[in-house]
Amino acid sequence: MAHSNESKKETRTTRRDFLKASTLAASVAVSGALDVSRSVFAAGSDIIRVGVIGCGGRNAGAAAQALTADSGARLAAMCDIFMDRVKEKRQILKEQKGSQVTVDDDHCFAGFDGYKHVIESSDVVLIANAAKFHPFHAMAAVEAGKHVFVEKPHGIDPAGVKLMQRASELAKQKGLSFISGLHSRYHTGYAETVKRIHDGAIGDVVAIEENFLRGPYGVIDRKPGLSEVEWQCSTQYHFRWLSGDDVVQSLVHNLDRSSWVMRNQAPVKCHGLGGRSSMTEPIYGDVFDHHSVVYEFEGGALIYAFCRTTNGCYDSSSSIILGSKGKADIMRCRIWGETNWRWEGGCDPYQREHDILFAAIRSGKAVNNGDYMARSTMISVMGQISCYTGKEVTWEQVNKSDFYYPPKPEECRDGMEPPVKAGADGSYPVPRPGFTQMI
Amino acid sequence: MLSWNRFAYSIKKAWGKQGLKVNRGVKHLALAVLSLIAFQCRGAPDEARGPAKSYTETVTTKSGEKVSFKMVLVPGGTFLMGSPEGEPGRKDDEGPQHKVRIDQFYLCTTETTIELFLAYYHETVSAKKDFTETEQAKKEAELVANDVDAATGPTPVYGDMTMGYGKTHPAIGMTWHNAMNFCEWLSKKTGRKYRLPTEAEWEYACRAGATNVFGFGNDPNQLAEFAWYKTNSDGETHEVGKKKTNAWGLYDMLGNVSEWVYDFYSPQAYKDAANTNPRGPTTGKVHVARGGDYTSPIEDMRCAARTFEEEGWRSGDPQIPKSKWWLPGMDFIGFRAAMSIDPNAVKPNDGQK
Repeated sequence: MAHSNESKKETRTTRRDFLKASTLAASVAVSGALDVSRSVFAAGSDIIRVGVIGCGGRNAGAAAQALTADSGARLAAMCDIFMDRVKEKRQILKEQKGSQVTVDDDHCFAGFDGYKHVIESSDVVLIANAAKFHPFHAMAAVEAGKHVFVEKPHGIDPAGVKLMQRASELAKQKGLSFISGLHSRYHTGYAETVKRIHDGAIGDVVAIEENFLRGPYGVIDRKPGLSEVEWQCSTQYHFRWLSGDDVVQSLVHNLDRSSWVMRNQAPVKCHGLGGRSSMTEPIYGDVFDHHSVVYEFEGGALIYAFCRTTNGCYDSSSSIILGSKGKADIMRCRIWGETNWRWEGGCDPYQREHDILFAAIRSGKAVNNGDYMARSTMISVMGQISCYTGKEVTWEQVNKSDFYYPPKPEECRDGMEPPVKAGADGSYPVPRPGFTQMI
Repeated sequence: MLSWNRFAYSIKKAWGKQGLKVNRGVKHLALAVLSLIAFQCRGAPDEARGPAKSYTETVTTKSGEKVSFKMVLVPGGTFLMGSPEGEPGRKDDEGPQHKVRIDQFYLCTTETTIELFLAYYHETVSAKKDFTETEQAKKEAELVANDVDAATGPTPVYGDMTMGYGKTHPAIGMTWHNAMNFCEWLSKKTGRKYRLPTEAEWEYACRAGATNVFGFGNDPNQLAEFAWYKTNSDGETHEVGKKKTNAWGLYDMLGNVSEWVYDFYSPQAYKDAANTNPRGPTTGKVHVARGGDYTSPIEDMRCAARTFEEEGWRSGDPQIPKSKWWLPGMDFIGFRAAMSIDPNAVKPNDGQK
């Protein structure tokens, strides 16, 4: 019996999300097909300089995926609010990617202004920091003529999402690639499932159930010596002005899948509820720990969307599409009913995002995800606002609004006072549905 | 890839050619049966004269529910580990075949279920982590050096640990480290010393005294009676304990999910293995998983087939450093618990750093 890579690949098919075998083979295949002679990067060399804005776990992962996608990619510059994170991730990446990591001490930057220096020193900018800054940093990169990979969410408030939309339009005009971290769109199994739904496999979509129910984002003990704003930045998922909270931060993946299934429509309105019941200590900042939002589309189709970040409860991560002739489970890549079908294959969508980005840069044919990235994020923002205010929110309303969480990203300075502060008991004020006003 | 019929044919052909080996195999089988009979005469009816043939362990969860599982006694004995050179589908890392002596131990009749693993998860999960991953690693290294139990429980899984499967399906997507930590938790909870089986113990229990390809015989047409694999799984894991057991009362040793064992992986592992209760190489990067899973073709369902953690198993976690606890999306990897009888036998944290 032969044990070639091919047979290994075949034995390693799963209905689930990811390729079990190394993705190296696929990446090499993509790079191998490129015509490197056409390159116009870094003063005529074949090197593509990669800069990372944000040195948390996700951007270190994205950097590794970028360097895997293209053998000519070099990690050239890094920044974060905290220098120790920059140095720590540089070290780990050096261990994994060796000579592709060329960033020297002079190209490690800290603080709110670090992004400027990273953009200057890069051809491609990877943005995965506190989501508040995603649109602002993406716009700065595009204005400087750089290609962009930016993690979700693509803004945490209506003003931010609109800025992201303008950045994507400018990228289009300039012929720059603009890639979104909404990874579902890069999952070939999800794409096959959605395509079948569009081709009528489950009839008309009647309703969608979206679940993202799981434990909380990691919390950390407050390190002595941190200022209040540094503390909040160090645990940014737990502060609304930095992360936008869980509908925007995480349920956006589910809402992106829903909107995709609905042929990239946006719902006309929504109503949501949410609160904070278990993860209530000050260490959990000022976010809610559970949300549910019901969205309605033109024609009456509904999304019932739930997210929760609480330990010890029922967990689920799923996108279930109910149609007039059957049912589909996007994340399991399965369809039941009049059509019974399942996808067999493996896919690493995180790696694919970068394979496609670098292939686009090499070929000069820009890829731009701006359309769905702005729409899906705005859908999440409207749901979040509805949960906080307790009011129905329409698509029209949210798009008319210029609401933003102060301060504006460009007004953030090292050493500033944060916009939210703990009360006498150490806890931070949270929104009160029925009283809180936003738009 | 060989079609099944071709595979069956190859097996027949291979066995046909190696009549001598078959005879030798029969002798081993006979010996194993004899020792099993001898053991049962010695131990079974009276507990004072030996350990019970099986027992049921019951764990009370944080919310007061009771979860039970059954442990059976695997009799001590000697077996031939690895596969003979002619075995179709064989890989080089399955050799050389070598004689191994295994002390008696207990092994869970089923793969660890989601229900039991959730009990552990809910009791021990903590969202708390130290300021940076490197600091955390440093702190844990210190704790290990000072012989303190570093880990109390995993961080929350990104996504859903059950991946949509029901409670009676096998627990999935945990790292080897997490599976080991589960055994520590279970030991503290019950006062018995639970651990992962060694690779040798696993293969010995899977063969259950037989010297053939699948434990139940050499005929792959029977595989569907014993195992969930590529041909009959419909692309999903299945409830544990729904197929026939092997000769020693163990369900799903082959198929459903691959099972973590204690040993580090090395393709050379059998070349200089200890001949009594081997524990595998003392150093290594990744660990062995055994038994094949619901996606496996027939050749990976053989008792001797070895697999190990591949780089892609961590690709569901888009972060760096990768989670020490979870393999998100990897629904083909699980484990089952073993328990030592001899206090000098392998302990969970023995030998490997």
